[in-house]
Amino acid sequence: MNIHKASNTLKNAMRISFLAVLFSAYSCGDGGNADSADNFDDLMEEESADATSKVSQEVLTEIIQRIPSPVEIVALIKASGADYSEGMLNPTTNAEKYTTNYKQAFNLGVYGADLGYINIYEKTISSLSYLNAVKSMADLIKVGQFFDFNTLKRLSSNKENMDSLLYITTSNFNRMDEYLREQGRSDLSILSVAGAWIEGLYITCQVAKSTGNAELIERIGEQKLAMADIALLLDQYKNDENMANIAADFNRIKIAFNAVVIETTQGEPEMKEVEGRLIIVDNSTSNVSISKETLDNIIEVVTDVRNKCIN
Amino acid sequence: MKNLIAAFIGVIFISSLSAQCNEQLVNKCYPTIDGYTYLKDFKFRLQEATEENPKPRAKFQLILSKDTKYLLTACDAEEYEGKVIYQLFDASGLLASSYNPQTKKHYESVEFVCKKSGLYYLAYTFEDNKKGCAIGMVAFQR
Repeated sequence: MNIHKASNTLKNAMRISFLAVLFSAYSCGDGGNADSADNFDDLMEEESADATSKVSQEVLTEIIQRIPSPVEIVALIKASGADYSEGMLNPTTNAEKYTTNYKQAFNLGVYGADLGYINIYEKTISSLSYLNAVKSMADLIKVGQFFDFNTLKRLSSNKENMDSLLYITTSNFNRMDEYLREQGRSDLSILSVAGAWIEGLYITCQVAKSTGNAELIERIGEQKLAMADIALLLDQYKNDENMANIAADFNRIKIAFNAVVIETTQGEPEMKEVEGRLIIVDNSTSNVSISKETLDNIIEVVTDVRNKCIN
Repeated sequence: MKNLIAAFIGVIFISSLSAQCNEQLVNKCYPTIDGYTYLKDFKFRLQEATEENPKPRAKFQLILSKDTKYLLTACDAEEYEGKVIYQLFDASGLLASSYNPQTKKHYESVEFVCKKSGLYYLAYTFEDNKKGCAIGMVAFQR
């Protein structure tokens, strides 16, 4: 890729502009309200204030939003050359076992991640039964209106529509999460996100265990970041017995991640413009250190917690 | 079957032409990530700048993964003048902006080639701090 180095005019302009706004923010003297989208210090200050104060609804929303979608890691699994394996997924026959809202919300997330896996691998026949499971869980917690089953069914019948199906189901999940939070049901939103996350991690663990793929192992280690977020989210509901039980299980996973070390190195981004699109290559890097013992322990605990939560 | 799909996409397309500040904006924005897989979208509405809030902005966080290309796009609601500007930060500072203030150029999209897994920040404003409503979309490609 032909990327221009740091001397790139645009980059300099952006940096200069960034510094100029920073300067003006400090020099305007308007009572400290010279906020700016470019003002990185302000942004960091806000984030820091958010992180240290009692976790408000707004902060909960921010944390929920930043949890990575399982679709991303599933795409990596497919790119690694791993074969499709439906046997890893939560059987749809389990759906009838979930009789509480907690279980239903959690497994809505689990089935959502499974559906993402199926769609990434373009398995149209399985897609339909998992769509049914998603719809069934969503109806039970009264968010079925976010899944237009007839449209989804039509799309799932043709491999060529898998991108659209993935888009519609993922965005429906996002809308549903927003709605649950707006309705004061953040606990169910958190459970759904936690279910999707652990299912994505579980599938990755199973594939990494059988293939030893280094990239997948690194990606598992990186989940330490999201794990901390999910533990924090679940911890907000520790006075609720059902949530506390799930939080305790997830805390076991958090402990298993303790030995993972993530190191980052800062580098200067490079940029170029291609047909109206700005392309930025970040030269900062990250590296995950994870021993075989730690990985085996993570796989064991994740498998145990996931299996407990789906049964 | 093909007719059904064409009809479905047609409905999305037609409704996107008159997209206002509502859920239709997401459908309007979807074609902007062509070739990438949809991940998230952020909907926000900002008031015009005031003395108390001279630079209104919406901010969101996301965890990005190394060795992944992310595409950032955004779409404005038609009933507002405000043209959206989005910027990507990490803990070290500004990484990318959809707007170059020196040339006054708005980029159609920003592709971010991520080599460091971690927490990133997206900030959205409207040009000249006008009132506006928009959807920011994030997609990825392996």
